[in-house]
Amino acid sequence: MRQPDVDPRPARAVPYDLLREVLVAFCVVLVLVVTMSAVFGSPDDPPMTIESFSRQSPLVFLQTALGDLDGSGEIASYGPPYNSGDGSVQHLGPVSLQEIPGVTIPINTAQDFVLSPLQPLATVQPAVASAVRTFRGATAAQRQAWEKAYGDALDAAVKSGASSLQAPAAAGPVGPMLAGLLHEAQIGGLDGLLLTSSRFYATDYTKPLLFLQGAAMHNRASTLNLLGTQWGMMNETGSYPGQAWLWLYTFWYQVPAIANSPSGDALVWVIMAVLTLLLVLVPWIPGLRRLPFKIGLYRWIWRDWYREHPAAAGPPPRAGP
Amino acid sequence: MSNLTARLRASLVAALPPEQLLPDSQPEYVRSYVYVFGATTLASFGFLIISGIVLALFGPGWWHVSRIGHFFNSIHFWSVQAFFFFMVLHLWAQFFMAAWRGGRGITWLTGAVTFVVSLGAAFTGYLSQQNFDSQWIAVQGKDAMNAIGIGAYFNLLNFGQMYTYHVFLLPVAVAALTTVHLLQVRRRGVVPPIPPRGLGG
Amino acid sequence: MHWGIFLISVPNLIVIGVMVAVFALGIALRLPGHGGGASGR
Repeated sequence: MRQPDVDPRPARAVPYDLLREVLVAFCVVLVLVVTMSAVFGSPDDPPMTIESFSRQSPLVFLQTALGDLDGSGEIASYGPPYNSGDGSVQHLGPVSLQEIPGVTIPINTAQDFVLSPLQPLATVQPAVASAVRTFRGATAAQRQAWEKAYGDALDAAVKSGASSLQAPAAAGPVGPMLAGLLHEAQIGGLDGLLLTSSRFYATDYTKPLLFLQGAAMHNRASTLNLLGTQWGMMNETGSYPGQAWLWLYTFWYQVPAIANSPSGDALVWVIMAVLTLLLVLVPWIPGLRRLPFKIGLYRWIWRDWYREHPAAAGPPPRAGP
Repeated sequence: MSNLTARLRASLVAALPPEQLLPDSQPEYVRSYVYVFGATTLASFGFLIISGIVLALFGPGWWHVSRIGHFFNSIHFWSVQAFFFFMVLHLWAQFFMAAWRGGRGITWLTGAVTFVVSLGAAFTGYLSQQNFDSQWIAVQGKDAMNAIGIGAYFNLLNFGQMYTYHVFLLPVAVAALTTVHLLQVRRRGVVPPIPPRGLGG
Repeated sequence: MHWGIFLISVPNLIVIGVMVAVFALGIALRLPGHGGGASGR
């Protein structure tokens, strides 16, 4: 015979002060958070700027800028919502939800991250102005040849452990252009130029963050144990508890099949969407809704009730309380 | 034509009579401290709102340059920790009691949805800190948002958008859901125990 | 802290440990104000 859902036997009403419970809870939590705040404070790692990045790692900065210019950078070929590339487009089977909204935040890395920011500098440095003019007037094949020559020299400089780069003549205008961009970055100009909008007020950091999102941030994040492969989503900078409640979400990124999939993020979304639906709809899911009956922890929570109302005492009285 | 106001009042009072909305007694089986995790979650939310209001009064940059501001940020930070700490304990307790029984499914559902919306509120908060943590979470999270097309409209790299979600839209949603959840709890009352084996006639 | 694919920071581990402990205490302890209960606390 099927067990009924709720214990039908009438329960005695016991005086209970709900408001007192809430007030005591407020006092307990107040003491808790004030104590923790006074003793431990809270983390505040200063943000990274393009200026600090370009001063600390000028060659990594040049690699980033070259990738933006020649289209080999991650954002240059990212795909929606930034552009029409396909480098970071994720699929679920044959469907790509990522492609449906299209390009809503257009980013052309060569134009937005290199050529446009060079314009102010070009007005005061004729060498930069003529380099940009030469580059713009060249064929795609010529540009690629310059970029390749520059990239080879840059790779060699990085390998040799050099701290600066003497661009080869074969790199043509790319040498003075990227040298100019590095100079602009190191005096703090690029931070502002990537942020400036024609509407004066700025609240959108898409461009500077997309510029920094690659090697620049990963190098710093890995020293702080924030990488995705380090369960980083749960972690906080410094010795602080992080977002422990994201443990299940970040767990999936530790599964090699998902971590190595080009559509890993989309897969995790699907898994979490299903699990979230299960959580929300537990009351109506057969099996799951009876799970606590089997776990039996309820016998502990209501142990006094069961002791005082043994099942053997007889069937429930039909009369109400 | 009957009086709409009177009908609304009558149905509200019928659904939640005052002595049920603010009861001064509970059934005898309410005898464990697991019942107070809801109240401590609510208290943590209260301190989130209070510290959040102080931070909002002075703007998003204040706490980086003021010792008092940093202290209120710490209160906000630890209130988040307390909020999720107690909310998860509350969720565990309600799960092990199978608290959705006896027509309390909507109570569970509103609670679970509140948890999910709170994740968004916390997430946009981490994005509004204006420090390296925010930068990193933004650039890491963007790929996940873009992967399913959300990033096209919900841009983690747009501080203004994330900040307004965090200080207005999501707290209002959490507060509204919490209100519905609490009214549901008061309307249905605490869940009676699971019947012991051998009772089912 | 590192076991296999499981990697967790010490602060997070402490938080989760305290959660489990508080939950166990919550079940073990009885609310005050239930005088007259047949349990005879």
